[in-house]
Amino acid sequence: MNLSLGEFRALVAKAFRGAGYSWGLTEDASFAAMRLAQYGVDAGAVVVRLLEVTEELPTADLMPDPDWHCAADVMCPICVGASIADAGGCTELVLDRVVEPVLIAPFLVEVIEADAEGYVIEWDGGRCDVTHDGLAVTGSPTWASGPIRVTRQAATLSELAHATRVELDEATKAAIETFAHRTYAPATEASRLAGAGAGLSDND
Amino acid sequence: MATATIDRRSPDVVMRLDRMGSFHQSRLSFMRTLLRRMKREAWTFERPRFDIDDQGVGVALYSATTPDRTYTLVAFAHDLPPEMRSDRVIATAWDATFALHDGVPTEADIERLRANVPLQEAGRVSATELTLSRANRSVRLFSTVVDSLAAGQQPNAELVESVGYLMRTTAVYGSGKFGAADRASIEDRPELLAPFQAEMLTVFLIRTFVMDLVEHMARVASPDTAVALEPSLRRRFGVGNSTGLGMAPFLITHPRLINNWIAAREEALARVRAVELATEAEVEQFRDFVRRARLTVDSWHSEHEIQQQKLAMLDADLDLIDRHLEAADLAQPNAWDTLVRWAHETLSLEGQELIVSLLLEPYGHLVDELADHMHADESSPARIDGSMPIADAKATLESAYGWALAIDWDAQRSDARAWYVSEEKLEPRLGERYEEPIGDYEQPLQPGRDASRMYSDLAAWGDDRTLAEFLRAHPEHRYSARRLMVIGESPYGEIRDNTIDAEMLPIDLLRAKLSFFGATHFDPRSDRWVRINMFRGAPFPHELVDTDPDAWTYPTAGVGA
Repeated sequence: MNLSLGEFRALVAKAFRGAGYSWGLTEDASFAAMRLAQYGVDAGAVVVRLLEVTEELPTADLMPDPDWHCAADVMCPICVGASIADAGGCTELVLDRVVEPVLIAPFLVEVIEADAEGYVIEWDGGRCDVTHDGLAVTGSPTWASGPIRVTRQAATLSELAHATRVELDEATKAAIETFAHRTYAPATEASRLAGAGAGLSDND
Repeated sequence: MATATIDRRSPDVVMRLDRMGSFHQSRLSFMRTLLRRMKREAWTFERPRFDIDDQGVGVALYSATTPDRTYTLVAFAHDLPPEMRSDRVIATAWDATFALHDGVPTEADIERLRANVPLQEAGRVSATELTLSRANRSVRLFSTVVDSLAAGQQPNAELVESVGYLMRTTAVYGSGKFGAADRASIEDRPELLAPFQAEMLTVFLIRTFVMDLVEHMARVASPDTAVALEPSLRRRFGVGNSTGLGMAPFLITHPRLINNWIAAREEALARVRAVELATEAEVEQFRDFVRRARLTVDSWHSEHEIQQQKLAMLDADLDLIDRHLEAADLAQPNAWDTLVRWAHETLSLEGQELIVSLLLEPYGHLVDELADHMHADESSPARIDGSMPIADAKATLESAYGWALAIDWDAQRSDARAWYVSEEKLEPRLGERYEEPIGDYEQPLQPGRDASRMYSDLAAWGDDRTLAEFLRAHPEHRYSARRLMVIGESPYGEIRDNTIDAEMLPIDLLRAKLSFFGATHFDPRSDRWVRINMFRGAPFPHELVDTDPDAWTYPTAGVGA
């Protein structure tokens, strides 16, 4: 299905919330996923792969401590990215077991000033170059094993994708919607009437 | 000429729900922004197609052409059995459905839209559509007007005044909804930069379609005797609109945008209050608008007790205003500032806010340009300054959320409500937290309570530690922390009232937003949905060239009523 960026962002926000993320991180995550999609990454698939790993984990356990470790046995790129952004950037980080590290990249785009140095995120089999203008992935878009290195350095983007819509296959869309669905309160007859506001006739 | 400086009213005064629920349309309302631009740029309008059959079923196209491009309303008219007619969002069929197409639609576009637009939420539009909308007939008026016109008569003017529209829209979706174009993809066009311009254009063109449809149905009924509506009576038909809770969260989820709306209006008021000496013409214009506002109030009916009380107060306010203006010498220095101070001391909130709107009327040259500052870049979440010392975060919370810190959140009445999204229709609803199993599904639409919780947790943190450290330990406060960043730059961005209080009225949120659209005749149908009228009195597209695009929002004596 062909979605507007806004629809994709809203759907992803619900999915992160449905997977247990705090509202604030949900805003960060949905923006990051939308940005990835704009730069040509299959962001829907990235989101599903991440949430399938982190859905049972409390957000607090995923937040990195000052030494960039966390209580959970995997790290979350949203929690890492948000923490880097809050600090205004970083110099060099070597991280262990970050699921879908490419989702760190949109946070870096936001903190890089115009004409400033960029970042490179490297993992086994793939890398993501990040500048003020955007990001580009080379090799495998997903992490499997080994350390993840985030380095402040000159980065170059030979070609910058600029998508204005998001194409989601049915399976990916259904998987995201399954997470999103957890945010909806089951309907009851009472809520149907009271919650939306009954009242005077609407056909006159 | 502005010589003195007057401060804008404080957010603590303006951003209260009862005051926001008393806002009126003004020169800065989005309908008026659109009409001024249409006039200034001499937009042209056409009806390239009107294929509506004798049963009132078919398709019609209405185009609006700017100096740079064309937009086309694609209107589908349906034959809806009366038992299916409902304004509620749970409806599945409507009397008419619409999409605003970006450009001139091809036959293939029209067929694609024919397969989707009548389905509304269950269909899909594309990046070449800007809005998706639908409308239902007014049972009270539509067939009566058809019958009158068919018989060669004009409809009863009193009846027209009492209802005010032939169809009411029940949703106008834009901004990427259901596959439509993202706002970000069109906001570089000057005509769409101001908020909700595509939506307002949609409704403006729908109004013309509805009038054409009713005249068409009269001609079909009696080709030999049917007449068209007399132009001045025709203008007394607006487009109705029913708005429910779906719109309410918008004011909370777009703090930067809402700040810019309110700040523009408050700046406009401050500029007028700073006028040292009003000219005779400006004074006369103001007095004229006060007289005309009375006509609006006279034709403003509501069956709802809350609004009836407010209208009674507004009526009494207008008496007080009349008496005050009989004696007041508006040629004195600082007369407008004096009047505003008097209004705040004397009138109900309805009357105070009406005075604000009326005072802007003679001062287009001072205030209209503020309409260019009412949009906001909301493409990315506000950056959180993690280096902010905890002491500063606490101080900002105290100054911007002092009202919330003063609330006893342990009292059930303080958080009696919860906003949630229902599984059934995926629409926001408001429930009773202590009576329904909805607490776990709560949406982040209670910034006051959440800011208070953050403040409580900050107490355990040393003043010299940083917000970044705090948020690593308390990711649940990230949402409030971000709003804290926004409110520093956007002081009108937060409603300074409890949005989950037992006594909170959602219609206050709806009215605040709809007043910025330019709506009139707010008619709540319960505490959480409201009917309004849009473009009532406005010129039709073909009349714009000879009309003042701002002169229509209050009736003139002798027309209608």
